[in-house]
Amino acid sequence: MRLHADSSDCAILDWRLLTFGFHSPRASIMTVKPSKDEAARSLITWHFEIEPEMTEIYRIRASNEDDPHEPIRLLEVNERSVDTGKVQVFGFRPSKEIPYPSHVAEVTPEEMQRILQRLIPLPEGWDLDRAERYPRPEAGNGGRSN
Amino acid sequence: MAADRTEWAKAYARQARSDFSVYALLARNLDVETCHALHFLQMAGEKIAKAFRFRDTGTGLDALLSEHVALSVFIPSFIRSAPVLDRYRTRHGDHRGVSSLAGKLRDLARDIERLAPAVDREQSPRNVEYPWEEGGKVLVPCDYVAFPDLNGFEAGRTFLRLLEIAIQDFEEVGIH
Repeated sequence: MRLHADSSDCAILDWRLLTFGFHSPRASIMTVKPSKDEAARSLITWHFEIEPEMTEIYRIRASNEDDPHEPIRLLEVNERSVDTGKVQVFGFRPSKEIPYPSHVAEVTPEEMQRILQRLIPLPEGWDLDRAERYPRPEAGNGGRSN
Repeated sequence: MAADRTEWAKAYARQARSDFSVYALLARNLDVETCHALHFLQMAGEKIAKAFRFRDTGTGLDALLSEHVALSVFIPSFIRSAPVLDRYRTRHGDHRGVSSLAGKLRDLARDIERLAPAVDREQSPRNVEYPWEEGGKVLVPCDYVAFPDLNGFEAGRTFLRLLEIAIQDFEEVGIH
């Protein structure tokens, strides 16, 4: 697992401005298909924007992540969620803004602690050793993770 | 002798569980149009909402059997029910965020509910089953791409998680 802080963030931010406008992917004006990494970061940024109590998001890469049919996998930690003691993954189709399938699971911070302690199992193929962690961006830093 | 409400409730919960499983399968299947997955989500939501209302409220049997509007009534009650509140934690350690979340969830539930062709047909003809007319054009559900996207809405994933709890834990959770 690594903390997301690479130097391509500025490029991603510029792409988001071109693609989604300032606030919403629904205002898409771009026709070039983004890469899967760009789409994943855009989805992560969007979920932080719309979920006020999202604290962190893990992007979990598959062993065959380069396969475009492999979904973007996100494990999202949301203070506003409800505790069930298990990880339920919901699948979402590609959209105009995120042209790749995505699988998203939402957990509470307490559940995330139990996941890290291996007390709650992750679904098959979800491995935190292949995860990138995106903490909630600080206000005013343009949505980038530090 | 007519079946009692408990029997109806269990039957609706069982069918909701099956509908929701099909939704989960279809939502991941890129070869199937979006309308079909959402159709099963709408049906699962309607049925589990009715299951709770059969069991935990005095709503009339005829109304429950014939109406499609159920989910948007159920969801706010469900999230405020004691067992769900017990699971719900905020960073403040209390439930002060529940009201705003309940509002978002109710709006999402209403969006899903409207996907049934019989609900709000005048104001919202868009649905997941039958073609409808919009702006002088006839639109077809299987070609339509602007249905509600729970991956793009605030509380969308929480909505699905709550629905899953309602369906899986029907026996243990009540909305008294």
